[in-house]
Amino acid sequence: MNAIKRFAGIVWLVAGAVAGYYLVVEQAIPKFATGKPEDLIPAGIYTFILCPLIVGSLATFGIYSLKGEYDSES
Amino acid sequence: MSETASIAGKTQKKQSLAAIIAASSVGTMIEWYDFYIFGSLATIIATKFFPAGNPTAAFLSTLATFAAGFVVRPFGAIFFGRLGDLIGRKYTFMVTLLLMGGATFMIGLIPSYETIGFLAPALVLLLRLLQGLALGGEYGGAATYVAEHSPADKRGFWTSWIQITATAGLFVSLIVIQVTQNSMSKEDFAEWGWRVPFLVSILMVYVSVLIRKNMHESPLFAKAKAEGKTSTNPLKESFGNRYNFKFVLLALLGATMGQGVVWYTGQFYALSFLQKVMTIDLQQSNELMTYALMLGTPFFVLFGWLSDKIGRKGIMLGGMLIAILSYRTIYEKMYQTTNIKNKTEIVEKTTVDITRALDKKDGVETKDSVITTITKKEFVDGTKYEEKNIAKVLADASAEPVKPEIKKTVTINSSDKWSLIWLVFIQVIFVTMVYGPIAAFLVEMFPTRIRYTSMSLPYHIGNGVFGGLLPTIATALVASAGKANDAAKEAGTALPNAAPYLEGLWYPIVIAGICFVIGLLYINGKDRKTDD
Repeated sequence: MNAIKRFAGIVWLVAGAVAGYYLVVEQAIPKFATGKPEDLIPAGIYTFILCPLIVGSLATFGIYSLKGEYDSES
Repeated sequence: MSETASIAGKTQKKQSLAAIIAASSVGTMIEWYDFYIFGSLATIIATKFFPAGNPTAAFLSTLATFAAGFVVRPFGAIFFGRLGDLIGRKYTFMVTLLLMGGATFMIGLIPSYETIGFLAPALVLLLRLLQGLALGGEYGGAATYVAEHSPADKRGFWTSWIQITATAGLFVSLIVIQVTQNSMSKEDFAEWGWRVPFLVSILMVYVSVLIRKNMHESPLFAKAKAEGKTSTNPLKESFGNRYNFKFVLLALLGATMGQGVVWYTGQFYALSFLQKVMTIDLQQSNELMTYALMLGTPFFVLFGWLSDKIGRKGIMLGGMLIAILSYRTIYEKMYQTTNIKNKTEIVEKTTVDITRALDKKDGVETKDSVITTITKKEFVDGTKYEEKNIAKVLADASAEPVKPEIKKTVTINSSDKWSLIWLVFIQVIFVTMVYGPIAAFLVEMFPTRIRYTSMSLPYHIGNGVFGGLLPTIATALVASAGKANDAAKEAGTALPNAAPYLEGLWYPIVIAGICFVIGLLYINGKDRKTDD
């Protein structure tokens, strides 16, 4: 089980990268492009708040998993 | 935690657990009520404070929606969580209650945009931010307070009463709004009646403060404080300590993230789908949502109780898994239930009314015309359908034509209504499975000295951020599927999405799926012993 947990760490790192791509490229950039105030706020929140939060938590979790921080003792 | 009863007996006059639950739950429910009435009355608030076509007002409106829902709640969790671990649970969640109640009451008093201009939306935004902050601090305090009074073997049952409050708050907000609407004319409600649900809040908060004032501090926190074992820097211990931080991450990614999206799908996306995609009459859709919530609410307690018997993880992850596997089927069934293409029309009852009038701009007639076509249809099973098409015919033939505005409303029959109540009820059951045991689950993950801080943040990121993103991302997915179909139609190729209206569900399915896998792999219930 510990080997699976560690291997899955790579999956969480990839998931973080995919989430970052989706939030910035698919969601934020088209909204920034419109220039409308009601689009700029969500775009800014996606880029500067949600993206670091989601990518950061998934990436940190992935690194911890890879390093065996979540390994069971027995 | 088994020492709870004896500690309580030594340090304070013994209070019944039921009274503690009632005091905590009523206050938390009022906070949810306060938070929801803003959302439920969003349309009317927009007309009063955020006039259409005004870019600054639109900016403030969007900020109010996003900031209070996503950004401020986690900050409230950190701010009040820290306070709760430093000075105590009781005083902290008293402050959040007063802050929320005061902000809500003040929203009800703000003069409209017409009276005081931009100060009106700016004040609304400020008060909405305070509401978000207060909500971020309240839940963790109430859950911790109740859990620290409960015996370990009944923690799931007793904390599940706190879990009811979010649904109950939504339920009460719908009831108060409906009662207010029914007690006056539409015009009066639009003019001043919408303020009543905001103003009523202060009475509820007053009663709740009176009840909470007489409650004692949590026995575990009181003991830790007496022994000098409380944290001096809860933020550093919660998030700066690698050992604790990995549990914060696990709580977020293996539990609250999935819970947040299942919760939002069952309680908010379902309502939005009924109103916007299925175009069911607003009053009917609110009514059937109310029934489904009312029928489903007792299951919070049932699953909380069951989690004491068979464990929290299985129930929460089970709820997520069933939701993931059944969402598309449930929503397809909902859609087809009222799809008029599946119904037999009574052709002779079809009416078409066409009216033509000159368009008006700022009250002055222009040369352009507005053609309003109202088509009414009736079906054998009692369903009624109305389509209002407002087309603008421009006097200047060379001008870019304006897209007609089409509003569809389906009024459903009794049988379809109960079918839909059942389909929404099933989703509420998923909500109760993932949400009922989660307070006890989070509380058990962290030690008393940093519990309030550590559990509040993952809860509000899971709900506020992952759950709160659902409407925006689901709408974007549906729009993108629709565009792909339109492009395929133009190109004369096969449509890529057979049911574009279901595409929004991929967001909760994927997020809950990731959360399910993380929870299944990494949560084993034996990682940490926090029964201090």
